[in-house]
Amino acid sequence: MSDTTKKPAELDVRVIPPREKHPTIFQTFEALKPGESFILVNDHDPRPLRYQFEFEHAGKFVWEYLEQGPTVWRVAISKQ
Amino acid sequence: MRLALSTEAAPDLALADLVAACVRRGLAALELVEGHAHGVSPTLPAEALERVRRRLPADGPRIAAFRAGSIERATSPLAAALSAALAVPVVAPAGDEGDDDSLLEAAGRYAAAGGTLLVAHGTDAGRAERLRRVVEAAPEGALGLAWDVDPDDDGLAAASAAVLEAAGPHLRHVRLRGGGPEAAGQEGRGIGPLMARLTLAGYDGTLALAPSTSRYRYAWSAWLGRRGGWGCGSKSAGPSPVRLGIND
Repeated sequence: MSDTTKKPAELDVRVIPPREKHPTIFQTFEALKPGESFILVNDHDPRPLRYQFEFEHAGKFVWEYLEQGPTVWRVAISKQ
Repeated sequence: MRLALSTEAAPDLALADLVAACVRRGLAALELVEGHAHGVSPTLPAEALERVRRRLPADGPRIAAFRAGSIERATSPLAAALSAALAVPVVAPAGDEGDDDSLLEAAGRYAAAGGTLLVAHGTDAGRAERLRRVVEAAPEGALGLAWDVDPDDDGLAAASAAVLEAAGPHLRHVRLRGGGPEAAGQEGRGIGPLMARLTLAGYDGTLALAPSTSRYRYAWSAWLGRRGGWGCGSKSAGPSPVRLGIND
């Protein structure tokens, strides 16, 4: 396993059962310390997830698209 | 973490077709299982292994691991040579604990060849811890750990944290039975917590997806975007020989 200070780890939610995806993502986010981040990998644009983040964690996260399809979406989610 | 496709999902596909299936699904790598139609084998001569390397597109899916049929086959000098030639680890189930000393002998062969052997354990933190000690006694880089995850194991949700801790930094490859077209049916079996723990532990190895049973073969075939082979006769160009007689 790697040194997470060099490269954020990936959470690939494509293998997670649909109803467990958002709870898993939020649990991962809540386990981060301020300044840490992870890269979310999905098979579609996770825009509804971003709305949920804005509702539940407004001002406490940074959302940055690293790749936007057409097959894979990668988003760096950082905790402020 | 790189998501990979195990050829268990498509044992009859050639290497080029496996690569195409990975591209369609956005998968970054392949776990080649010995004996499948990709044709890669420890018995291939060096020049054939070099052709395998050249056949893979530089910006496409890579080979994440070669899974040998048994630990005996994985510890052979030919398997060590394959690992070095393709620059991929060879994976095999660890076998009985009494045979752990033979892993150190194999590690010597892998170190001499410049390859890597990954010994696979199940969701058993005690076994992972004992194998970790073997790995740490071997020449650096010659041995590592792989984890075969079966979501049907009742203890996965509770045990995954302990297994990750026991394997430590030596965990290089994870194989998950499920995901893909089976993901929706695997609720409550610990896959979400497993993925979160791998992320928070900073795991940056591969996660290979394989069917949980052969019952899902057609579901995987469809998920991978394969055409034909269904035997329904729908490709027939001529008029249907079947008349239902509804409007006659």
